[in-house]
Amino acid sequence: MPTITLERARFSHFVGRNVTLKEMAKWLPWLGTDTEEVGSDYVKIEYNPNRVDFCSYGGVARAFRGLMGWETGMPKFKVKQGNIVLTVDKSVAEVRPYVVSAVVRDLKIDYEAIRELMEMQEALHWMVGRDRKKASIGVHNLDAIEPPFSYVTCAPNEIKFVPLDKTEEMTPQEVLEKHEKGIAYKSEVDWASRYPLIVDRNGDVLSFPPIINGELTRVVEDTRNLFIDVTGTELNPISRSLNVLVTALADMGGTIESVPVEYSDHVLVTPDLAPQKMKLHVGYSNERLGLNFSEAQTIEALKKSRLDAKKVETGVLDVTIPAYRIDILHEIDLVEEVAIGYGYYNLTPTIPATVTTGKQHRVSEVAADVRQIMVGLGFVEALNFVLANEVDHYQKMRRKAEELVILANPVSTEYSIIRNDLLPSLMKNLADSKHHVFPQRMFEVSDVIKLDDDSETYTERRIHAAAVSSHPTANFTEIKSILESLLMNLGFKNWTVKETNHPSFLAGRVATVSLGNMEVGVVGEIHPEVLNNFELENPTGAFEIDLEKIIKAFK
Amino acid sequence: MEMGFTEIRGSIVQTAFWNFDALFQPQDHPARDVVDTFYLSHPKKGKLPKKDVVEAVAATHENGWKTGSRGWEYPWSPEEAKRLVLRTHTTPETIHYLFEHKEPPVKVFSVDRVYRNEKLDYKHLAEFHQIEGIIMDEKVTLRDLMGTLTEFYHKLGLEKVQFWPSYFPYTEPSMQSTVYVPELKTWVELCGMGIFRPEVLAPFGVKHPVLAWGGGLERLILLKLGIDDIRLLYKNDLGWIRRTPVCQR
Repeated sequence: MPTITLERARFSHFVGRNVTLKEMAKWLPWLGTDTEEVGSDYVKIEYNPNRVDFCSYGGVARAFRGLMGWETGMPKFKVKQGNIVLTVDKSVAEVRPYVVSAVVRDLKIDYEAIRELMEMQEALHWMVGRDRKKASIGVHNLDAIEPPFSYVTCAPNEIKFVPLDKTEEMTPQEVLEKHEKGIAYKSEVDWASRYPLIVDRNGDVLSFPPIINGELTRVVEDTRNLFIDVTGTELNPISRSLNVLVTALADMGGTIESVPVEYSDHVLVTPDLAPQKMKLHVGYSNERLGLNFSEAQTIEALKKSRLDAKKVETGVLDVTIPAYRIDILHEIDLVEEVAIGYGYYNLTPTIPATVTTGKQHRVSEVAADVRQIMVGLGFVEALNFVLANEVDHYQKMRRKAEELVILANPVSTEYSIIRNDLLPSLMKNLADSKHHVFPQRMFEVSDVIKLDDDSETYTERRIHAAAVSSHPTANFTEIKSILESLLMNLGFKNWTVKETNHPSFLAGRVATVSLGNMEVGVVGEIHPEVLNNFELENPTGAFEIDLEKIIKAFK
Repeated sequence: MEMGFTEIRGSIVQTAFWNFDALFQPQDHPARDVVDTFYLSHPKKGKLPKKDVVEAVAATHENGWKTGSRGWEYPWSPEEAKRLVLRTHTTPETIHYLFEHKEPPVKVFSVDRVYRNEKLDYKHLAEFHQIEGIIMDEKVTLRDLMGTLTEFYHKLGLEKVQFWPSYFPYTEPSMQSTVYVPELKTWVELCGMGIFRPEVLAPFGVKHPVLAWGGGLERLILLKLGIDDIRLLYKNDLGWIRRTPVCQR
């Protein structure tokens, strides 16, 4: 999750009054942030990705003033009409079709502000831009370039410019091959025949979106006026990113100026900070929260969440949402704003009136019975991962690996497939427990996943039970009597044990177990080669049964 | 169960449709990335449910459908929704169950396996257990959710509980809870919770509010056993199992 480190003095400046670290640590979580760290003179908070506006001091301070009741209602931002034009060439439609823009003047930029500006861009690139795909931002020193500006395309090696953090000129093609950012983001443009570019009246390059800005427009400590571009694949995400950014810059002391963005068939004047409007039904809000608020109380809570609201008819409010709140999708989001404005700490728990009786799942009931019986028979329960690997589950068990459920992106070779039986897991447990006292008797009642053509996922989850008994005199008779004892205690009277062949077991000492005509499992003495593969010295008896079949047999 | 909940159990392998799309997680959401979620290479894709449900979910993502939401404003892809994943939470089974049980009241729970594509270390597992519960009824509220969780924690011997605002893509309002652990003399974050969003419920025809919460089981066990390496729980070291008391009150 994204974080922001709020230095106390600077945060106080944005809030407009002196706040202590203690106040910050106490109250910020009631806005829905997590305190990561309280330092000597700062608080580091983690915020949720829906609150992109918390990527700046200004954004957090706005909400904080509201929560504390120091300033409520919707913050107002002025946009001065500007005359710096950005022209959009038709050819960008092929590669990165949309751009919006703004000018912000009269900023006092210091080291802290530059750092904040960079962090804001990173946060927006990640949360709204989906790693620059949907939206990417360029912030430029306006005084280093000459308007009007154009959003155009060029052939990969048509022009040269000095990209940010470099001293040599490169073509866009060379940027994609050599520059760190070019290598990281090349997939956004390298498929196109022409690359997007923002240039000034002299053809000087401001930016090669979404890859890198030009060194020419680098923002430094005495930069006062900014030109901002946001480009992307859709209009809404870039407009929203721009709104979050310019409102934060206005809170830093800047004056927002609009830019006419001239597309071939229309002109878009951006940024558009017109608030979003939505209705809130007070009854709906009360029903969800369990409150009995009047219209006035609801309005007061919304204002503390920095929204404006007025009553339009009984029980209905017109809510006005500032342009930087890009997370309000539905009326229910306003209900949460009421709760946050009122304070979660003011909500007292109630017990729901719903009366029902509880019940365990049939599979869990039978699993619990099996566990109890196995413990009674002197076995210790193990619980293993369903994630497995071919070596333990097939090679070491002397089996051919077939019909596997395989992971596309395993995190390690140890967990690359999904197990379809339990015994290999228990063999591994024995291997890990060699240094402990014998006899060793373990069991597992748990999940396996098998292929199944009829299911929605082409797989089927089943529950199995398996046990191993490992000690110097372990043999077929012992483990068979354990399995028979389990079946008897589960309430069965008749079963048949029939000799079979199984690669993991010793020939002549392995059998299938059936209830009626239904084969439910296998029991036997583990093959010496398998014991060797797991580096076990003692003979080991083992069984595995399919509990779903046992449940079927109950019926 | 003591609190009147019925256990549900579902598939560990899910289509992305049930794991993400049905829960209003947009298809470009970072949680769906391969660095967070295990996808299968064999079998690779599953089947989608009935056409009308798929269309309603698609429209909700694209433009909000008839929920009153603006949606996520992108073209929804059925192929992406067919990809098979190891479920990242137990909630796909919950929404599946609600789809098949629309009449109130519904109170169900599960404690079951979930997966995240993570390197194993002392506090992370790629496979772990999630506790989840929901209440669907005509008039249940956010305060009822607080009350239910408070009672649940009390039954686990955790007396002091606090609720904070939070965010999850499929609940609104959302909350995070912290409990005071006297042994550690500190507050610990446990379950996250909220009321299912209308964008989640409407495509499945669920008309009443659904309170939902969930959290990791292992975290709770570590607190109870006083151990700090989560991997120990799945090592199945016979000596450790033999030494660890069954009764943990």
